[in-house]
Amino acid sequence: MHINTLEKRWLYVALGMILLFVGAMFFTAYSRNIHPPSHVETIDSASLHLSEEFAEDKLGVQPQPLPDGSLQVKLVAARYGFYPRAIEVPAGRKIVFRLATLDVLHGVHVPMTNMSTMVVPGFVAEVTTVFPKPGEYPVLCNEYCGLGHDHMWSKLTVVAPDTWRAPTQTGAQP
Amino acid sequence: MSAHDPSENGQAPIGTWVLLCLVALGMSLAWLFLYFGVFLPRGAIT
Repeated sequence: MHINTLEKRWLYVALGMILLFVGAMFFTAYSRNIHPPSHVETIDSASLHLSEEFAEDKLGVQPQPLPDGSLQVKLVAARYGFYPRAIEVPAGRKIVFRLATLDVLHGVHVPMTNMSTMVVPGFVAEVTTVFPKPGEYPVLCNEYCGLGHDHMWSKLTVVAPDTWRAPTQTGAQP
Repeated sequence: MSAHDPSENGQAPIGTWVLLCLVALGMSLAWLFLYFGVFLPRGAIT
């Protein structure tokens, strides 16, 4: 097949750029141990309020950190809000979110960070992230879930690690 | 392609080549900035 010399150059340059971008992603994924979230765990959405884990008094930042030092946050998404309505976590520390929905499909998105996932009825969504910068962030639903979808949000406060105090019990924040 | 195409005998228009290099360099730098300077510092999710 005949390919014009000039076209060949454009092809090589485009191929080189693709290799650079994909190589950068592979390199950082390998060096920083980044994996796509792949947690699969089922739960009965209709009886979340009766469950061991997602009962109302068990939600929010958990007082005991996980064995690797990361904090666990449990949230329930339901039309039209995330519960608890406000949580406070330290900056620069690994946060493991466990989320479940009480009714329909919801999405969780924290703008200006990479925290984002879907919360599918019948499943527990688990994602791990780090919030590098202190500040106040909204937690928004980004999957249309009904007429009140655009009012569905709660507040996430990221504080400096030295000013953060672990809650003494679940539901103690803010 | 015509036999009179200058790129066929190593005479590719220099302007096209310069334009290609500028666009490729600009796009690569912009992509690397967005990935390493904006995306990764926001905290990857795993």
